Amino acid sequence: MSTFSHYIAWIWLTCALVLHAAPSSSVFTIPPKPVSQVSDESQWLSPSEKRVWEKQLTTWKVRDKVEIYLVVLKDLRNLPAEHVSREISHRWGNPELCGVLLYVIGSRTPQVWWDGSILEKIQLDPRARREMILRIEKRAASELSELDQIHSAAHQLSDTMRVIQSQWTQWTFIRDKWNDSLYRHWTEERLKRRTKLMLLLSVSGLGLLIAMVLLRAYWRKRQVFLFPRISSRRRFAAPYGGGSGAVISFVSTREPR
Amino acid sequence: MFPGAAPAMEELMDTAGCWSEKESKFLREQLKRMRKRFPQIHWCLLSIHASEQMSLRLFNFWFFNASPVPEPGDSEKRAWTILLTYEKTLGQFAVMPGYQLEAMLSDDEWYDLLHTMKVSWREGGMRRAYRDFFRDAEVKLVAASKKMQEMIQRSRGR
Repeated sequence: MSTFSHYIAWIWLTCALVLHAAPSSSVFTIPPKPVSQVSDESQWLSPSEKRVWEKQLTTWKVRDKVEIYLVVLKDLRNLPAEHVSREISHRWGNPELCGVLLYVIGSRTPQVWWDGSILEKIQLDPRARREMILRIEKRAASELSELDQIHSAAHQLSDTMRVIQSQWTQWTFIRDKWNDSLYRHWTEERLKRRTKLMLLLSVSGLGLLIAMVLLRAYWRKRQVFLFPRISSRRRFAAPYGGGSGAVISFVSTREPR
Repeated sequence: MFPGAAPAMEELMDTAGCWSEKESKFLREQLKRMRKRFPQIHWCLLSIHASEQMSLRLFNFWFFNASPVPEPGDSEKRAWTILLTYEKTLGQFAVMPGYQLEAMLSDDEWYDLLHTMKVSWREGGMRRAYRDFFRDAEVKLVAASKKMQEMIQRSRGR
């Protein structure tokens, strides 16, 4: 009996622990992608503040091709902010370059994160990127209010991303220009070489043809024709010729000259 | 025409005085070219001024055989000779080949050549007549040579 009661007590305790632990271990879900670039499900921002940020972020996106999302969350369920930001960026943002400004309500400073394939293309050192992020966060932390911190971090982040974006633009411009000029140079060179080759072949062919024609003409001119010796019968006892051949009389008997 | 015996045959014999120096030079060039093409064939271009009616064919036959041969070896050459005679008085041309060349061109072919010459003479004078004669004679002789060579090849093949 005691064994059975112990068994019942063990099951009860396990259920209690599971029920107790369930809320704290619930999976963190990334909020759905907002229509604008501001996600604030908890409505921490006032409607007017939200509108200001939406307008500002849209302007940067359209004008400078700098895409930044401002995400306000209640908590991160113990997940690292960097991990959450990366996930948001991957799901919502432009894979080439995207920034996320993550503010967890009640935290000291907003978390800054930005990444994209451009960084690899312009060969930016990951340590430099990390350094930039830390500097932005440090400067933002120096502001007094949370909103000012977000404001500072957003502006610094947009400036940084604008520089990166312009670097990439410049890099592609130089690359295209270089490729274009190089391609043109190569094409011209190849065309020149091909033209030269064709010209050389044509002239050679023509020369060869002319040489062959001349040689043939020369050979034909120099060609000797022989006749076989035959045994002929003498006619009229003539030793050399038997009187064959032809005679023709001109119609006009006047002097030829 | 030839007082006494017939003279020895030469390449160019202008006894009638028909050809100027320039024309003689032209005829020698033509003969030189023909000799290169047909080294066996010898030519004799003769111009005569007959004082009386005579058969040019008969004259050619007589002259061809009566003309003395300077060297004993030249008798062989004579059989390879073609005599082309121009009679100035009546305006006649006659051609006669030696025995060795009789089989190469028929009398009709020789007649064709003289006819060409006649037409050319009317159109362009003596120089053109001789030029066309040699041009056509060359064509006919080349064809004859090739034909003979083919016949020899065929007879060897059998």
